[in-house]
Amino acid sequence: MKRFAPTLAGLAVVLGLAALLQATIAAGWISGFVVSPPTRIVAAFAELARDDSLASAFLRTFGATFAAAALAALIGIPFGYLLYRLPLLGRAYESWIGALFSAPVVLLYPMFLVVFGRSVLVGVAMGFIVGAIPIVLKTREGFASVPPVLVAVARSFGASDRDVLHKVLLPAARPVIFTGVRLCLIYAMINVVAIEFLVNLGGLGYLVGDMYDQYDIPAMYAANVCVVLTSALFYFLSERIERWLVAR
Amino acid sequence: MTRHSSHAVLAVRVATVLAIWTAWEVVARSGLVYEGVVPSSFLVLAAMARELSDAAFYHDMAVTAQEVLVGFAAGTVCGVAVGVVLGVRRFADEAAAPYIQGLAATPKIIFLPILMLLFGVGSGSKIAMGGLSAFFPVVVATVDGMKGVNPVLVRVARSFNASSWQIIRKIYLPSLVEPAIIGMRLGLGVAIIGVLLAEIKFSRAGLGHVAIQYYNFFHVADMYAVLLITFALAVAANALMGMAGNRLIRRR
Amino acid sequence: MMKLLTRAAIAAALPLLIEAGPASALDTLKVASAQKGFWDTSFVELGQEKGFFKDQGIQLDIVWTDGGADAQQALITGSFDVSVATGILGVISAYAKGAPIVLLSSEMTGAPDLYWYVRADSPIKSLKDLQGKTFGYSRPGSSSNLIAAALVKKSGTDAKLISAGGPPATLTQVMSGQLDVGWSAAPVGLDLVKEGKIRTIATGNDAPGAANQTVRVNATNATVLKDRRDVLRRFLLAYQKTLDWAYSSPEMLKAYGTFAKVKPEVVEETRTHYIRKADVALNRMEGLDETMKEAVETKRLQQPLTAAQQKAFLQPMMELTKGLGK
Repeated sequence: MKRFAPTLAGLAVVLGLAALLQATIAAGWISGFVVSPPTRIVAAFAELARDDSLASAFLRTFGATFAAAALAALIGIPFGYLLYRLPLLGRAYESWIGALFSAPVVLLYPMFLVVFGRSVLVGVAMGFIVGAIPIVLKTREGFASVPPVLVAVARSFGASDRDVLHKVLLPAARPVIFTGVRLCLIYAMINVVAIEFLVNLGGLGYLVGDMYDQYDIPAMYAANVCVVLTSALFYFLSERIERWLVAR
Repeated sequence: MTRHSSHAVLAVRVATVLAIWTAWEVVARSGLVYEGVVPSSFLVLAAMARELSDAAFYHDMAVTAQEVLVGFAAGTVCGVAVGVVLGVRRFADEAAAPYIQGLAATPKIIFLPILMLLFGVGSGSKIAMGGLSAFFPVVVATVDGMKGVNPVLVRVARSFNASSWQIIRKIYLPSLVEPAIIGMRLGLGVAIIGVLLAEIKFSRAGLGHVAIQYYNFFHVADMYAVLLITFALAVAANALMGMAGNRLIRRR
Repeated sequence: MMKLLTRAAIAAALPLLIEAGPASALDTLKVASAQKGFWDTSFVELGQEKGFFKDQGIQLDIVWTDGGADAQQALITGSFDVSVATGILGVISAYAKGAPIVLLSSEMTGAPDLYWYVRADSPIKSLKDLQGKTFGYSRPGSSSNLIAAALVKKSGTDAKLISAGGPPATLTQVMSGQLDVGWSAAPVGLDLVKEGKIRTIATGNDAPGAANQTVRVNATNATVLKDRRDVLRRFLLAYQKTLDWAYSSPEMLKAYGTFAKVKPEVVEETRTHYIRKADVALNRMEGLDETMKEAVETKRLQQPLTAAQQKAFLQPMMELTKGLGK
């Protein structure tokens, strides 16, 4: 029971705040138009779920993020390996890639719009670019942190490059690479949702903006909650997958 | 050995830049992409020269810089304050952790409409966006830093009857400098992006606004020029932050 | 480090805090207008230049938006005092949902100026060819939104309504293939039609009932109505003076031509053929039932306003526009 005390306390605080909010809005201290009463947010959530717009928006955002992250992993991990195997390249590019990490890549979206048209591919492409960066960096870092003696020992037993990669490097670097994957998911989703919001492309980002434009403020808050839940879902999923990979 | 490597690194970088530049020019002149989407780099360079010699550009830059700085400062102060509180009370930290981590990973742009309702459509909402973005990396890093403080130190201080405030000031804060700075580096990066995105959505000044206006009128070379300058400024700001941070860490 | 940051933050924030300009005897009204360069949205700008607003003791601080929800948001959040040329669709649905928005006057009745176009090489020849295509309008709640929805409904196709922003952005999207059908309003873009680069496939009044529907209004927020009611009345008086001048003087044609970068002959055509004085009258509110029906259909309203709600909605406009335009 004591183990759950913090979780319960957290929940209690959240519920308490919601109740407080409801009361202050009802008393007229805060405008119910700017901050919707929690009960109306819940009602709006139910209505969005009922008329299907929430489900399709969620699937679109989730799908785009997943596709972007999968692409980023597919291309980023091998590239990170390349940077590790060719230290010259690694040294040359590492600081560039690190600088790209903090660059506002998302500002390039108008050009992606022209190239890809108004489609979900814009989000996937931008999510891929932004998500690949942490994967490349973390993969290289992960491999580089494997004690060279392990590699040397493996080679002394006649291990080929492939063997070294699969049997020594990947298992040892897995936690760090996974940190990269988790960062990738976060940044990919942030970019996907940002593009959806800015360009009215569909998905949860679009839903938030649309509800705001239509002045359905409770529904806007409900859509916000959905976005937070989706990012929590990705966090949860990536934890699960990592645990599954470790168990194998 | 080192001299050889640094020459080689430089050679690789120069070769890469040249290759990218050549590829760009080829695509620009090939007519492969819709006209104007990939303008010749010379047009972009000319546009950059025009921007940098235009007083109006510096006004917009000042607006964005102001919004970033104020927002970043606000977010950092709140982040450190909340991080210290959570670090001191472990129970609070465990209770709050899922919510903070969940919100940290959430795209902050979706909170922009709420911020606009609360702070209006002017600079206020942009500053709030910057602050909200910067808050999370800072609070997470601060809590991490708090956890790294040796409890023995705290016990010793208490045995000397030190007040809570003194303990915070003399034991916790000094060991927070390094983690806080790491958080602040990330915080500045996301604050910049947050402010720029807010400017794109609704604004009448600032670098994000200028870039989007150019796109709306399809002055593509000008848009790239502004974006490149903005990129360079963001990278420079992050590098500066890094250098300042390293100096501070070393000074202790 | 903290001290340095705090000082830097305060230094950076000071200019924002001390935004007050020189003290003046004029009342300032912050105006959010839509679509810089359109005929009817230029009245505030040109009227200010001519001094009509100053005569009434008002200084206008004008900001241009992409229309619809953008101008409205500026108004509802209290960032601006008046929004000009705002779509009635958005105003009425925000009002019904409890937003502190107030109807100030009508701005455009009928949609004689709006037109929809395609690229010259597009296979779309008329509204019937819209199946599976994208159909643009400016921003949600705007008059172009209202008319676009009506046109798509008339076409009987499943065309998708896309919020494309202002005319320049829309043109970019149409020419680069992102959008099938774009929108604009005379005289903006008419030169491209004449040059054969784009082709018109529908106009605003093609939408059923649009010719007698008040599609755009001027709005304000509840705070301004309560605290600065007389300033609003004076604003409308100056606006009416500008209208009288705009439709009687050759000087206006030149001023607008310079402002919108349009040739004087095109402007004359706009004034006599496209948008007549009666269209921009401040005290016409027609087709409200039609508007509410469309609002319900596009899910912006749960149900039409009751008679009592309608009366409350129209009251400020009735009072503030009394005697204008006679």
